[in-house]
Amino acid sequence: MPDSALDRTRRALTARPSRSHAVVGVLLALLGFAGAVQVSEVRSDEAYAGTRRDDLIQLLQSLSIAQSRAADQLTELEQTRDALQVSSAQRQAALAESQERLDALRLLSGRTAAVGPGVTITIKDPDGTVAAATLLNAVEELRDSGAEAIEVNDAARVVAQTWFADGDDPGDATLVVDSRNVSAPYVVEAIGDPATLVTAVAFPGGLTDEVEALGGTVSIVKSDELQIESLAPERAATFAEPIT
Amino acid sequence: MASTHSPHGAPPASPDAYDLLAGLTAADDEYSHPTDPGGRSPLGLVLAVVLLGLLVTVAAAQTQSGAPQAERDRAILLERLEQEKAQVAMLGERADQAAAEVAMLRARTVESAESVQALQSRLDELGATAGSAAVRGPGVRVVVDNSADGKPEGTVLDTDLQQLVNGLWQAGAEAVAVNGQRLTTLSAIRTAGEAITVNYRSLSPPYVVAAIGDTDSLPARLLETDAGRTFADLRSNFGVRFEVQTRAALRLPAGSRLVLNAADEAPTPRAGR
Amino acid sequence: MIAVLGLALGVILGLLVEPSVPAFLQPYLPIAVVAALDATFGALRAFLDGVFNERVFVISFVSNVVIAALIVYLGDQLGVGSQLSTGVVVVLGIRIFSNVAAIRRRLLHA
Repeated sequence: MPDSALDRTRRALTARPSRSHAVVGVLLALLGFAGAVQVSEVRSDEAYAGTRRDDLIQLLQSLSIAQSRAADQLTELEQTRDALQVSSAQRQAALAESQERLDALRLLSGRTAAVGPGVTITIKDPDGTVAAATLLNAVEELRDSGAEAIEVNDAARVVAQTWFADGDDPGDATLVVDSRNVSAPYVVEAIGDPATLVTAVAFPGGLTDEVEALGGTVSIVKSDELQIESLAPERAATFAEPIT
Repeated sequence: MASTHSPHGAPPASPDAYDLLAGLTAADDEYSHPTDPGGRSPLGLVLAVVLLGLLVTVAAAQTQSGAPQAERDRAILLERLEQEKAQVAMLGERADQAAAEVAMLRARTVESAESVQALQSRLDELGATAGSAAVRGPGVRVVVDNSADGKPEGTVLDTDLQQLVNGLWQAGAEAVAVNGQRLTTLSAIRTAGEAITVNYRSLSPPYVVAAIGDTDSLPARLLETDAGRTFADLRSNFGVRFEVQTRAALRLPAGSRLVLNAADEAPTPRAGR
Repeated sequence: MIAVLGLALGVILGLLVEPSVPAFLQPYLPIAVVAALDATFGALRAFLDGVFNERVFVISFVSNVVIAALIVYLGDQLGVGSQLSTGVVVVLGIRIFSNVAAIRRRLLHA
């Protein structure tokens, strides 16, 4: 090609301006102008700047669908949450109740110290004539009158399995409670309603009369706050199996 | 791509098979075959231009007149779009929140399910000896009854039963019931009028005392206790019925009214007591 | 020379003035710009091939812009506005691409 593109370009750039150049210049100015305007339009912050009305409507519709789906999902989630809250509250209540029962059982089993109103019964046995059967009977009387925790000589905690036996030497004023030796005077502390417990012991033919007939004495002291601190030994149920 | 068979992509020679792609990608050939300006009458050109201008202007004017309404419509649409977006976003946030709460509640469910189980098994364990749980196991069944001749010496008293139960505990019983009444820390064996009461319930003879324990040692140890000896004497001297039967499977019911009214838990004192 | 100056001047003016485009014109402006670009690249290629004709450039510039806008406007009225708009841009884009390819061949081989 005799007239190469580069030659033509060089000539065009250095040629003298003519009318045709002006026309082309004007048109290109228009193009530049419109292009710059469009670019800044697109860059503007206004969202959906160039979107058509139809496209906007479509967008709105799909958003509407999305919204109802989101609302459904939310309702479902909230229902689940509410149901779970209810059952959680129920379970918490059941747990609390079970814990309370466990605490009561532990106290009844003599595994925890107890405190409450009650009476302190002191049995003096100078002649050593008070037998285990008397003490056992007294304990049954106390239980019958609502004693919830019983202790002998600040050492032996009386629970369901507690047994009483006479000491090896009769007249020794010693009794055996759960393999533990206790000596007179026998101090029996019982937590319950003090007035009722007093009648358990003092009624005609009851402990007081019995002991006095044997040559001993019985004194009863009521108390608003009695501490029973001795614990019963832990008893595992090896042969007894709970039926659930 | 454009000029596989024609230089600079001139349209293909054959007019029948119009290759769309080649036609589209053909470089602008307006410049190669400029229409001859001379032959056309300027009037026609001017008319064409005027017509075109008119068409464009009318179209523009029509669009322009609809502009304010279109502008308002568009504004409404955009506003609704923003509202919907905000709504969806808010719903999403609430859903996330609810989902998090559900997850936490589910985790707590698992935790407390374990606690419930643990508590229940401790309750059962303790209940076996405390008397709050029904139990089964091997043991002895002691039957005592008044003597056949009905004499007062042959009558079983509450103190006798107290002694018997005491002896059973001493012999290693783990759970005891008298005529179906489970013995707990709160149970008392007493007399009310003519009848023996256990747990404030009147019982009538014969008195069946069931005790769960080691069948190998329980009967023998019972007979060695004061209670065992006493009853043996009562049987031989006064005809009181006293039978000790070994059983492989006994079933004792749970005790009732295991409720505390006066006693409260106190802090457990120093060890070594 | 003036051509290049004209283009630069137009861009600068557009950036400085920053007019807001009336809403009803907004969808047509980008089409017009691409159509004008197609005419311009065609002119550039013709110039490098040595067959540039000012009259052809003016006519193709104006008619490209007007016809492209008309096609899209018609499409809007018929409800296929965005589709036709896409189609027009695609075709113009292909033509620009092939013109640029021709320009490249001319510049690198000649």
